[in-house]
Amino acid sequence: MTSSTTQQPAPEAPAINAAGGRVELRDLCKRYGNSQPPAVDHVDLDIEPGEFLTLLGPSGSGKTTTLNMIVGFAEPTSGAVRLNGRDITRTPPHKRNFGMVFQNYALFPHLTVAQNVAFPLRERKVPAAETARLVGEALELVDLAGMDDRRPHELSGGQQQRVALARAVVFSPSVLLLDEPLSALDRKLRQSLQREIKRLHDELGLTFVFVTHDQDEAMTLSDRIAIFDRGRIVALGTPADLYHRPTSRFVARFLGESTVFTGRRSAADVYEWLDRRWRVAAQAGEGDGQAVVVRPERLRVAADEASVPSGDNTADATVTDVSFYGTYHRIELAFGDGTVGCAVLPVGVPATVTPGTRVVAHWRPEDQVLVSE
Amino acid sequence: MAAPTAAPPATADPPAGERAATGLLARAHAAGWLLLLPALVALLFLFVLPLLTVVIDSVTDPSLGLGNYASLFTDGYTLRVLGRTLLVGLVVAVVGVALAYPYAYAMTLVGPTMRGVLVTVVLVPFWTSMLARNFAWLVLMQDGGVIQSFLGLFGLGGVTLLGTTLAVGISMTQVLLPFLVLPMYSAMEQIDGRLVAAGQSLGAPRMRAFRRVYLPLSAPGVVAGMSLVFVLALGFYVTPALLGSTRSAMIAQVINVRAKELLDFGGAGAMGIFLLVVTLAVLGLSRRWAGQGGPAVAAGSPPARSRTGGEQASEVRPWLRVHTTIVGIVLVAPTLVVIPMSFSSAETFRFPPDGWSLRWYQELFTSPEWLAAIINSLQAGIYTALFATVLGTTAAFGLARLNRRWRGSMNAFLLSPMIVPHILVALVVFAAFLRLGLNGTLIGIILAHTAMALPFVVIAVTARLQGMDGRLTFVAASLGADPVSAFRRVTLPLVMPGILSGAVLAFVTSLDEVVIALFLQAPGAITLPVQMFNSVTVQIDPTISAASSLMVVLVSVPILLAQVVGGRRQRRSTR
Repeated sequence: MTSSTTQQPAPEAPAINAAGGRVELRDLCKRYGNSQPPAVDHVDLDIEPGEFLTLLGPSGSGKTTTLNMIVGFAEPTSGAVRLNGRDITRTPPHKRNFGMVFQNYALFPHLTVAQNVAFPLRERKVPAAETARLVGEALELVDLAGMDDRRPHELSGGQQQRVALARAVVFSPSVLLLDEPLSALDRKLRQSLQREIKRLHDELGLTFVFVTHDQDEAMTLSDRIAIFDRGRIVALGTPADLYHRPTSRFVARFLGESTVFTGRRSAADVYEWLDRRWRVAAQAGEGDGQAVVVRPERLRVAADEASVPSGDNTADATVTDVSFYGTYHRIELAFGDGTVGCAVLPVGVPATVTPGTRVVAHWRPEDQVLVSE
Repeated sequence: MAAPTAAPPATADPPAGERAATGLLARAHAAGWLLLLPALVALLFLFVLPLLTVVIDSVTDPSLGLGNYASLFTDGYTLRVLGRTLLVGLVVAVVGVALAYPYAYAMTLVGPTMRGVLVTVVLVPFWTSMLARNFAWLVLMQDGGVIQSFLGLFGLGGVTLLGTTLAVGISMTQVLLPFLVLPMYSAMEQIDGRLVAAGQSLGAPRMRAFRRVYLPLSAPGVVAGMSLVFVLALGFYVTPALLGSTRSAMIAQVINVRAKELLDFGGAGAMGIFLLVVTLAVLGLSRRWAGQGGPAVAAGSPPARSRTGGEQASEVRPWLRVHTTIVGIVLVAPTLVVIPMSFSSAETFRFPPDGWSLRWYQELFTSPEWLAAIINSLQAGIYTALFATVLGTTAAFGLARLNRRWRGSMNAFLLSPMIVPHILVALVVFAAFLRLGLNGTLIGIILAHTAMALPFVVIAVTARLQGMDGRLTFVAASLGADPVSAFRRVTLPLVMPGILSGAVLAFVTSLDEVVIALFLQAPGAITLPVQMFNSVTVQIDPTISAASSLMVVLVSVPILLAQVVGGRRQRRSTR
């Protein structure tokens, strides 16, 4: 509450070199009206200084609401937001010194590129000469030097988003928030801007909080990913962790492809599925063992049981589709209980399977993960 | 002049803004009502309460009951006037459509340059004062005038036009033509031209394909334009008063006589309310029939965008060329009469003039009456623009903060002065201001004009606000701008073109308004249109032609300026 009077001091010698801020979310809740389930439901999250953290989840999972509470556009129903240990829950957005990049660019249409980038500096009463230098630096940073006098509508979508990036970092914010910044761009542009954002993060050392529903984007960019489902964080970890060690069926399904078998864990090292008894390796996963997840690159197919290496877990399947993806073949499988799964085979391995073929799917016990429902 | 328009749908939400702002919703609503308050209070006192008193008068004066309404349908004279008014309205609407439909169709066929010309031709009447246009018709139709001489070539020289219902009808059709062309054009502009070709490819001959495909698709525009013109025609006062005679009176004249000369507010009120009921019924039906939110066309608004896909100008058939040319001539003719007339040296309304001089301009700028009228009009226009812009802009900002349901009904309320026939507004204001002693003062005229002009400001500003990306204020906040700074640096510059064009429309509305000003006139409160009206009806004073030319300048300069400024801003701010 007192924070509204403690004005953020303007940087003494402005230069785009802010140190990353630490953001803590403590038991954050947001309800819209009483009847609906909460949009954000008891979220706890520590975002480390300089970290690239992604909030990933399907639409309506609460990730954007969480972002809006961090930046100050939405007021939490309960809980707290802290920046470097200071409570900023009730601080209005214009005093938080956070940069934000919006979906669809959101440039000021009545201002030129340079005026757009200078906007936050003018708010901070930065002297004109300093402003000019910083704007030039910021535009250089996003590869738009010399575009100063263009109007936003004269730029391509990718260029507009670069201007938005420059505008959001030029005043050395402690945190940069990005709300699905790439979703309006086409595939190619998206990839080049992903690299741009990654480079910006490496160069500036800022804390990045990135919201997306695109799992590939999250995997390539992030240091850590927080996966949202129905207002809660259901998993938090590095992309590799979450991919190889999903904790729940939802996480496994949402991040990458997988085959999920639903059976029963009958003993510490035994999992029963239909008539099969599978071995469970020591490092089985953190879940309580409701389901077994196998990633497609771990799943192999054999013509019959005889050609399966000993010790592998197996399941009978019918090939329903084979498609060629350039670097690999993707094979869709249907299992006896209706489970649908998939495997990928590197090109070069002669693809003898065709739709309709009956095969045996197999994998090493240590390659499977037991997850909760 | 200022065209009543269908309200722009006030529903589109900036999605992200909405999402982010939900937490602050209650506060936003309170602020919204606060911003709306001034406009609501103004409308209540200037419009709603006076209207209610007239309604009450109509059932109590001279005696309690529906006697006034009964006499509408029993009194032979009133019945004839009513019948004539409805018939003229209908004929004007039908003939107008016959003239305007092919013209609007041609507008969709020609290339961009020609389209610009045709749009300008439609807008020229808007820029020529209502009175100036009627005066031009008076000149053309007078005995020995151009039209009579022309008819003389066919041996019809003895035909007298002036004073007949025909003269009134012709002039009204011309005056109202833009209201037909613009909605029809905007409906046709949405139609994919290839659809007719598709119809033909499916086996329908060209005309049948047109009838079965194009006609139904353009019907909403036709219905919107026709109903608008019909209701506007019902309330016409100036044209019948100038070009007709007491024998061919229309209802607005009778209302005028009843109220101003007989002080029979009950009887006049009943007629006015009857007009309002017919208006609401017609507009309601047409809205229902033509679908929600018919095409919105505002006077002076830039011509609608050409269809996407850069289709080439299609071939325009010879008969359509001829028709379009004739309609174009009819549209600009009054303006082309008025301006040369003002340089005439004669004491009469002869056209073309026998000799040239600047004497009428000299008269206009030296005679105390004319000078006073000009100053009064400018004063009224500027104050109206000021009041209406302040009230309308705050109201538009208020509307944007309300939730959807309230926004719709408040929007409708704010726009309501637009659909009430001017003659009824004049009567209502006259009756109310008589009690308050505001009659015969410029303040009374300014207040009444403010109520009339308010909707145009609300529409113009609302359109800008809706066109604005709602997230931009959030962006500004994230970049360190406090709410005041965000408003000053982002919202205001983006909405400014809307505010400016609203102000211009308000100024022009007041400048050109005759009926209310005629009702409220008194020595010392005579506006330029009233002086012009009197100069034809009371004495024959050719200064009116100079005044008409001055009006063309006074009206078109601000509109053109607004378009140039608006256009430049538009180009800058389109994404």
